Amino acid sequence: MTHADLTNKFHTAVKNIKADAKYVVSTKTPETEEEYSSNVKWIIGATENNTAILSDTNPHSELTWTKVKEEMDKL
Amino acid sequence: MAFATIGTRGIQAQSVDLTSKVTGTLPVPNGGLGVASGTTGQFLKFTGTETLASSAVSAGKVLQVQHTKDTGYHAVNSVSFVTVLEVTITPSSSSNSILLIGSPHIGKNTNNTTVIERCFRVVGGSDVATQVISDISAKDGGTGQNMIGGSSFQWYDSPSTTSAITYQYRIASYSDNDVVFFNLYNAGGAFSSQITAMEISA
Repeated sequence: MTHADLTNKFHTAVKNIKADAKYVVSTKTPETEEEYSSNVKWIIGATENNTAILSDTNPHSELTWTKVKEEMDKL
Repeated sequence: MAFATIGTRGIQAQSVDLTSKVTGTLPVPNGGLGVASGTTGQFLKFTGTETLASSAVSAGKVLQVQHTKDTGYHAVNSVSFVTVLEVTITPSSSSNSILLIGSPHIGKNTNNTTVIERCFRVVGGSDVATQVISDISAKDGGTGQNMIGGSSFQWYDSPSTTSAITYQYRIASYSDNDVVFFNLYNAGGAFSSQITAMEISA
């Protein structure tokens, strides 16, 4: 599987679990819990000129790595 | 009106010895001024209403170049902008211009969205100007993963400052129903985006 295909699978999985979650994935699409923690930043708001405010803390309890991986494996 | 004085034996057959036999200021001749000395590559320019001098051309020259090559991957699923590429330059004069050139690699995932692209001039940590690039990049109207590859943009900016300027290229997803990409790749090392800022003399 290419990284592009893996990327599509990851984003589809997250969307299936929580459609309104906003985030930025950097470096590479996560394949492990460690990468999920380090490579995903969560968008928790926006400045007055509509620039995203990012957080290292996942605000969505539904979006654990276990759940995301489980959903990815179904796809 | 003052006239030049031609010394003894200054005039010879069909010639005037201007170098050693003429003193004083020559009036503007009928037909205009057209003579000066200089060095190779210089140009004549008026230094007064009736005076000429040789001069180097300084306007429009590239004074410095700052460049960033970025191979970092980002996926953004928000309508809020995220910085994915930037370069910093400090102009030497507030009257100079900045020519910004970028070639980001962008795309969208499988839902029907597009990439919104903007450039921001950031001084002292604040956004002070924006260059709209596009609201519709990578649009295919369908559900294909659409990589347009190298987008491109330019910004001929007049920042009027000598403070450090960071030009930030930011992207967002138009309809936030799916992610947009910066430097998406199939295998490692097969991507890069670049941004260059050039200071142009006034």
